[in-house]
Formats: sequence, C-alpha cells, structure tokens
Amino acid sequence: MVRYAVRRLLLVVPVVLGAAAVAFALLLLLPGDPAVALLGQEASAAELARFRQLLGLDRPVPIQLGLYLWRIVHGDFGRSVTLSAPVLQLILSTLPATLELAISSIILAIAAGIPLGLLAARHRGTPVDTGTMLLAQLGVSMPVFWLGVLLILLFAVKLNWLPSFGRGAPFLSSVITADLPALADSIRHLFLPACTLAFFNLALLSRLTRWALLEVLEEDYVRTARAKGQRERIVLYRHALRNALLPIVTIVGLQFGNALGGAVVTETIYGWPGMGRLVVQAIGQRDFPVVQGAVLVLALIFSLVNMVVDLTYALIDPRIRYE
Amino acid sequence: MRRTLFVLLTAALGIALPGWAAPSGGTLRVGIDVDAGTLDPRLANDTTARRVIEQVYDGLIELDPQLRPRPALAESWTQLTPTVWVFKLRPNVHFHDGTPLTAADVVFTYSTILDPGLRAPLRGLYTPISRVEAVDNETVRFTLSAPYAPLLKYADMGIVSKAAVERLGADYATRPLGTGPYKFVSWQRNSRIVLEANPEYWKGQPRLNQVVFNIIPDNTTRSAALESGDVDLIHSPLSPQDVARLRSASRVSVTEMTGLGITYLNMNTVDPIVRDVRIRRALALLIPQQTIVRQIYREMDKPATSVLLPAWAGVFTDEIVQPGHDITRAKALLAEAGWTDSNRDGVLDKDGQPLSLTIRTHSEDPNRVQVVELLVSILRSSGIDARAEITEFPALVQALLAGNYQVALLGWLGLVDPDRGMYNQFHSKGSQNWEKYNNPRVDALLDEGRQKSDPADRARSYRDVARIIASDLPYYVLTYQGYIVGINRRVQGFVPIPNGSFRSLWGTSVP
Repeated sequence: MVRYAVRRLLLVVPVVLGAAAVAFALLLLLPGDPAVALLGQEASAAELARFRQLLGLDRPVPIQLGLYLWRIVHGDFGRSVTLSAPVLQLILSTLPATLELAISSIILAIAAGIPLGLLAARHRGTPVDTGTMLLAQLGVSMPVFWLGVLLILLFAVKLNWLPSFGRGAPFLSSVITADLPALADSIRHLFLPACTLAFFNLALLSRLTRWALLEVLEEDYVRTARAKGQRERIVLYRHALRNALLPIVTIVGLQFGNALGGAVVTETIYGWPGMGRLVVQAIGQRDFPVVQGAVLVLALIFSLVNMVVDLTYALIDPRIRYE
Repeated sequence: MRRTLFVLLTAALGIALPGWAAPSGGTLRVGIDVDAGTLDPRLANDTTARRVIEQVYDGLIELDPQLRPRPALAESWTQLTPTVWVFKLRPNVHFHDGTPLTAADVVFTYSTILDPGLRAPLRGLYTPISRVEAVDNETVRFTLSAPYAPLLKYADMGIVSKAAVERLGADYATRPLGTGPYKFVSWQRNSRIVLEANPEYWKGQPRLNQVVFNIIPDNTTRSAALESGDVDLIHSPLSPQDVARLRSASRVSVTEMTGLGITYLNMNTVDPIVRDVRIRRALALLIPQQTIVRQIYREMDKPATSVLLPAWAGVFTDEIVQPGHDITRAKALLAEAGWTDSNRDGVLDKDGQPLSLTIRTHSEDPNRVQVVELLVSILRSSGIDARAEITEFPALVQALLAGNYQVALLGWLGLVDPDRGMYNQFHSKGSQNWEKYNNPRVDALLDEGRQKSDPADRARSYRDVARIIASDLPYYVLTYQGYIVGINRRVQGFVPIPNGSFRSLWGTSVP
C-alpha cells in the first residue's frame, strides 16, 4: 500500500508536466496573443512587434516550450503579462478561496446527496422516492448562473439575510484562531456560493446513490443477509451501502475536480476572489504564463485527489489490494 | 460530521437574521466590474485602474464635468510658442510618504512614458512631446515636435514619485504612491482595493475616511448588491433589465448620460468588395439603427448621428448625419454598383462572384453579438451572402491589425477630445486606421485640428472631417454609449461626469 502510494506520487510528476505541455500547445493554437491583449487596440503594429520580441513570442515553438518546462522544473512560473505580479503569487493568493469554496460545496453535496439517495432507495416507488428524484432532476438541469441569481435576489435583496457578494474572513484561519465573529462572517459569505456550487453535485450524488443501492440490494448476499434475519438497517448500512460506495467515491473524486474548474461561473456570479476567475480572465487576455501556471496547479491537485480516491477503494473494499 | 455541519449552518443563519450590515460613517463602498491590471498610472489601460489611480494620484491638470482642463498639480501653465508649454507646479504638495513633489517627478513620469522600454499602453498620446525638462524645482517645460492642441487634456496623467518607483521597481504597480486625495491601503486580487483619506491633501482633507472598491464581475449581482445596501455606488456596464429594477428601488438613484464611447462598424476600404463606397452606403442604409437602440440597447445607448460625440461641446452638431434606414435606396445602390441576382439563386452577384460579406465582432459583449446576428439576417434577406464571425477580443484586434476583415463591429472609449476620436482612426498615417482610409483632405483637416489652438477653428476642422466620414463611411457610428451610475441615496456630493471619472469622490460623503 505504501509502496503503491509512493509509486503513484512519482507518477504525478510526468502527468503534471504533460498537462503543462498540452496547455502550452493549446494556447498557441488560440488566435490573438498577449501583446495585443495588453497593449490593446491603441497600439501600433511596431509596438506590438517589439513587445512580442520582449516576451519571446517570436521564437520557435519547441524552444518556447522547452524554456518553459525548464523554468517550471526550477520553480519559476514567470510573471503575468497583463497583471503586474508574479504568477505564483497570483495563484497562491486566489487558490485558497477556490479550495474553500470547492471543499465546502463537496461536503454539502455529500452531506445532503447521499442521505437523499438512501432515502429514495429505501422508499423506492413511493412519493418520497418521486419527490427526491424530482428535486435531483431539478438540480442536474438548473443552470448555475440562474440558481445563483435567484438565491442572491431572495437572500440578499429580498430578505437581506446574507451578503450578496464577496468572501469573508478565510474559513480555515478563523477556525484555527477560534475567532467566532470572523468565522460567522466567513460562513455568511460562503453559504450561498457553496450551496449554488453544491446543488448540481448533490443532485447527481443522490441519483447515483439511489441507483447504486438499488443495484446492490438485488445481490444474493443481501438476500442472504435478510434471510438470516438481519435487521433492515444493518442490511442497508453495513451490507449494501458499503458496496454501493465504490462508484460514489469515484464520482466524488471527479466532482471535486469539476468543482475546482467549474467554480468559475459561481465565482463570477458571487464575486468570489478565486482562481477560476483568474484563469478565465487570463485566457481571454491571452496571459499565457498565468494560464499555464494555473493548469499546472490544477493538474497537480486533480492527480493527488485521484490518488486519494484510488487509495480509498482499498479502505472500502477489502478485496482490493495494491502491490 | 453531518451534525457539526448542521450546527454550523444553523449558527450562520441565526447570526444572519438581525440586520448585520452596520456601515461606518465615512466609508464609500463602490461596486466595480473588473479588477485593475496595474495601479501604476503610466501602465494603466483599464477603467478600474483609472478610477483607483484618480484617487491616489493627481495629474498636472484635471478635467471638469465639461471636460475642460482645470489646475491640479500645475497651478498654472502658459504656451510660450506653439510648440513650447510651461507648467508651474503647486508649491508644498507632498507624496503620501511625505516627500515633496518636484519638477523632477513630472519629468520622470513623462520621460518614462515616452521610453518604449516601459511599454506604456497610452504612449502614442504623448509621442508629439520631444522633450520634457525641469526649468527649476517648480517649473516644467514641454517641447513638442509640432503643435499639439490636445496635449492639455492628456496632461491628467498621474504623476508618480521618482524616488518610490526607483525604490520599489516592478512592485510599484501593486503599491501605488502618489499625491492624491486617498492613500493606497491594500489590494486583494479579484476581491477589493482599499484606500484611506489623505489628511494632508492640497485641496483639503477628503470627507470620506475610506473608499473600498469591491470587484463584482456579474452585472446582476452588482445591481443586487446596490439594491441590498452591500455597496453604495455602481456604474456602467449594466444590463438593461437590472437598470429598470434599480430605477424602482427606493434606496437607489440612477443617473444616465451620454458617455465618451461609441459603438461603430469599421469598414475595410481596401477590401475588394467593401472598398466601393456604394456598398458601404448600402450597408449603412440597411441598418435599422433605431430598432437596434430600442430593442438591443434598451435606449441605454443612444443612436449616433456622426463621429462627433455630444459631449464635445462646441464641436458636436446634429446637422451632420450618416445615411438613415432606407432599404429601397440600398437596393438601388447595390444595383448601381453592378450587383444583381443574374443566376436567380437569391444572392446578388457580379462577374460570376456572389456578394459575400463577413461581419466580425468579439464575444465578450453580448449586445454586439446580437447586433451582428441581426445585421447578418437583414443583409441575407437583401440578397447579400452575409456571415457573422465572433471571436474573443485579442483575435479580433489581430485580424484588424492584419487587415484581414471586411466589416467589424467594435467600440472606442474615453474619447475626451475630437483628436482622440478621429486622428489615429482616419489619418492615412494614423496608428488605428485599420480600414486603410486614405483621404488627403481629411489628413490635412486632422493635422489642422491638432495644430490650431483656437477652439472655433478646431471645431470647424473636425466638423468638416465628420461630414466627409458620414459620406465616405469608413466608419458607420451605430451608438453613443450611455454612462449610467446607480447610487445609494445616503451618498452625498458625488457628481457623475461623462468620462466616468471619480474625481468628485474627494467631496463625497456617506453620513
């Protein structure tokens, strides 16, 4: 198990560098370059050419890529072209906000999605099942920007209970310092964006849980458990749910990746100062160093989460052993 | 786990119930659409940066609501000869770190802007300056290579502290230090920029203690934040439906005016098809300008009559007009230019070539995308094989620079002076003359406008240019962009002005 984990950890390196190279290549395929984005429509052709030279954009692509990877290996992420700051500083100042939002939305999705799925599976074919699945249907089909605006109009404008935008104090640091007012402020700001981002995942998880449970409940060993007179609760939680968890854990892992990348819309609606917005702006402005740096960090997190998911399989299912 | 979370959430909502928002007396919270790219005035090229920089820095002059230059760091100025300007600095002005402002700071600001190595985006506005020198500690002399009337309006560029720039290097862009009414406190990317009052300000201490710029990219959220009282002031860009809601919100007052921007069709005058002026006129005649303004812009932007902006007092006149909406005349012009449907396939053709036209715009502005889609459908129903090409802004600008386009819909902002709105756009040597418009008469008139100092003479030159442009149509100006400010009624003393400037924050208060 430990050896497997170390091997997986080493594999992360080529995966991340590969992702960086792919991101690099994709950006070069986009029309428009950072010189145009930075100098804007006021610039003359001569100024643009001079600027491209300064950025090294006039060099052959393989050389640009090689230099880029070389610098990354040495921990140099470069400087943003359009925002006057080093890329690493930009990423480190926006990543915590994105992680805070993504993690809290995943926790919300798990905390509500799995019980709802359980409920529906237990009461299969009853109005409880239909109601839960209708809610789930709504969740997977409602556009995030629409849900976000509705929540703002209701909770911020109409009821005036919660702030309409922005991030409060950092959640983690207010927990660590046990600063209760800061924590309350943090949660008040976090609540609407986290719910908005969680809703789709919650719906998906509840549907998946219901399906996985119903599948498992058909198995022979469940019939055996029931036949030997086990209480339904034990059958459901100990025998069925544990086996149904495998696909659920897989999906949660993927959802976390989506929550990181897909937080862009939520971040934009709520003015949440996260990395998603940074990356989307950087793509629009062809700020290559920022996009590349962010892709690298996202690939790293995603690979690590996937590794954790794989290791979790072994915890859930004793038949799975990693050599 | 679940229980802990439940408790936390209940607690959060419980705390939320009593009215939490307790605004402190002297803080103004502004809701702004994009984050600043840099806070170095010499490098700034976005609206947010400009608004923050105006608070932290002063220029030699500042523009009043009628866009007239008024003394700021320069107490007075004189034009010794047509090409020599002398600015006398206000004495006893200090930067926020306590060091005095001297002529050396002014010289440093302008000479670094002119240095290509700094990559100042607005460098082109200052290139007629051939030399900047300090006559003494409080006097600066600008020598121009040719007379340049607009110089004074562009002299609102923030003056940087030479010592601070040399000390901080590239970090100066994120730790701005000037002489302005507010001092820089902090900047959290994509979140907020905080300023505090400068009690030593030369005009007197500002009335607000603090100004917070909150970055809220979504138009609807920004409006909701104003409505709920989370921010006190928001401004364009705003969505029409949100503005309608704000107008009926009790705590909000909405001011609308014509700003300093245009939305226009750029027509490539060297394109094999579009170079025929009859085609350009036919296009203009096919554009349902009033409908577009009403249906797409919901009258936030106003129908334009020519390249002259209403904000250019003394220059603007509505007697100069572009061709109006007239489909019959458009069809007659197309026929006159030799385009007929000879093979009866529904598309006009000439010498075996179909009349195809691609209209480009950029995807960031949904209104522009809608306009282009509408135009394409109108052109198609008039027998033109029209197509829309929507790309992101950098790709569009690249196509314009390469001359690789036929017609493009885009805009100009911040046109404080007719020179800014016409010289580089229509002069055959202009740096933004992507349409390759070449008219010696227009060149001469634009040079005159630059070199004459008498406002009446300048006005005459620019009106003549506008008249020629309205007939030759390298540009068809669709709208004058509106500028809208929504403000909480508690806020006192804020004066919105068409160029979007926030200079009046010095005298603004929030009781």
